Amino acid sequence: MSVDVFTPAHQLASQVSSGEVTAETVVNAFLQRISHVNPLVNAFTDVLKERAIAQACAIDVARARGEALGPLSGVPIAAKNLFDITGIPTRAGSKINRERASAARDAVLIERLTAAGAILLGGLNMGEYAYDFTGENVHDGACRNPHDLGRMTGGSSSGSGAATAAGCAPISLGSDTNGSIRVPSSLCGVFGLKPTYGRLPRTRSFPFCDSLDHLGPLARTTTDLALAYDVMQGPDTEDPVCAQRPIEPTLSALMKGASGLRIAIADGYFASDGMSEAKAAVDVVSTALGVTKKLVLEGAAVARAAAFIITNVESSAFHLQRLREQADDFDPDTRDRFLAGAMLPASWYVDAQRARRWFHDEMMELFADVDVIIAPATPTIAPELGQRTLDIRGETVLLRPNLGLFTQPISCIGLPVATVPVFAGPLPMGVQLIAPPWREDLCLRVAYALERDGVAVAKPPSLRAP
Amino acid sequence: MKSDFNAASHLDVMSAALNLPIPAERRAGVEQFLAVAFAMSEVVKTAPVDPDHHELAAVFRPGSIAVKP
Repeated sequence: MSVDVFTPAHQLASQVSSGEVTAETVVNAFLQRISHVNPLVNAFTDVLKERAIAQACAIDVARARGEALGPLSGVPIAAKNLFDITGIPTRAGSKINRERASAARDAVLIERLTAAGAILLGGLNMGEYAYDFTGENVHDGACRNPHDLGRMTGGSSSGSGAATAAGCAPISLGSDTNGSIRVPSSLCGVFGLKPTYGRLPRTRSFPFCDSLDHLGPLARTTTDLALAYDVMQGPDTEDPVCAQRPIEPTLSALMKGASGLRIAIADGYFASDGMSEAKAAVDVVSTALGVTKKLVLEGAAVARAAAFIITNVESSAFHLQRLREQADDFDPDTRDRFLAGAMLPASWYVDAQRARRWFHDEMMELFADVDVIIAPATPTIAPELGQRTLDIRGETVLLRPNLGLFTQPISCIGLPVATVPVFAGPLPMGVQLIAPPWREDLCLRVAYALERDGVAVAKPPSLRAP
Repeated sequence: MKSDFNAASHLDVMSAALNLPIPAERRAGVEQFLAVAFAMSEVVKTAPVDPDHHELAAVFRPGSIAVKP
């Protein structure tokens, strides 16, 4: 039986569990897809052929013995290369880290997916040390958008967006500090979930900014997103930030859809006037949901600025010794920001943390009257590779810091967000569905409703050359 | 009161204090990001935070004694 690489993960798992197809056949189909597509999109930095086939064979043997299989049995996955993967150095998009010892054990989220039957195919390209919104990486080369190979994937989980969009892995893992799951989800046209800060443990992943680092999945359907998220939940004492909450499953509630939920459109800072693609995507989503109510999120600009300062200070302090000793080995597009961040006054950082708490409290009051907030994920569709500036509301601004304009204020206070892909034109644009803390179920329910109604869809890409 | 920030002089002082030399060819780039960070810090200052509240959202939980192998 041939395998359609765009089959949703949960259906692949059903086919493997029922014996309709073997896990080995599935894995070989995806390895073949990677060998065909990766030279075009540059999503994978490491392909783990032997490991993947061995895992697949083990699943097939377990099935033949009549053993119970996990909910992701035979599903290929891939992980941004800041997740520890046994046997290879955790490069985190850098040149410097390649000299590190190989990881002795997988990241805890990879272990949990593997325990559910998923099969890791490899490590994925990313922006250096996750300080990136573009998907361009001087060491590994730019990751290319599967919908138009001349355009950016977004970052820093560039390979995650590209691999899942291109049919190389139905589920991938990314990290999101300021938007690094949501930006590539938007530009590559896939679903992404940034859970609540502290929900998923970050154990054995390479840090960027401790106060803001989140991990989460990207997928081609909401069901796959929820399935992967559910099996990754649960306490882990090795990550001090992990909230140690019990598992709160979301999959079983998806079919409730948007029914009964109070939904509003983010206005003010998030207004998409003058951004035609963002406005079109938000309009499509809000019309489908019958939403007209608008809310101004007071303080979003402050939150964005606070996230910028917190990220700049924490990440630069973390890399200070590397900056002293190996500055020439950094990507020039991240190096100068790190160098500047190492020099910021402590009071700027403390002020930013205090402002973060203030914005959080403002938003908690707002959530008394609304369950889910709609906002654009990015101000634009995928920019062209090499593009340095962006026109936003009639003003030309630097592209790198501004691709995360709409994502930064939300991750600043750790709210859960599902990003859904909308094709209002030939290229995708993501829309954020923002929920209160610990209510991933709500944003996933709305994402499911939009997908069920054909509004949000991860279309197979053209792999079109520029 | 608006702050007076000079990225070049700030860079000189801090690079010496941190033992973080910045070669001449990188000064412009670093100064540009110092200026961006300053602008962001000015936005942050507009938040009407409670002057008597100082929670920094830090997470530190003392743990248990490690068991030696």
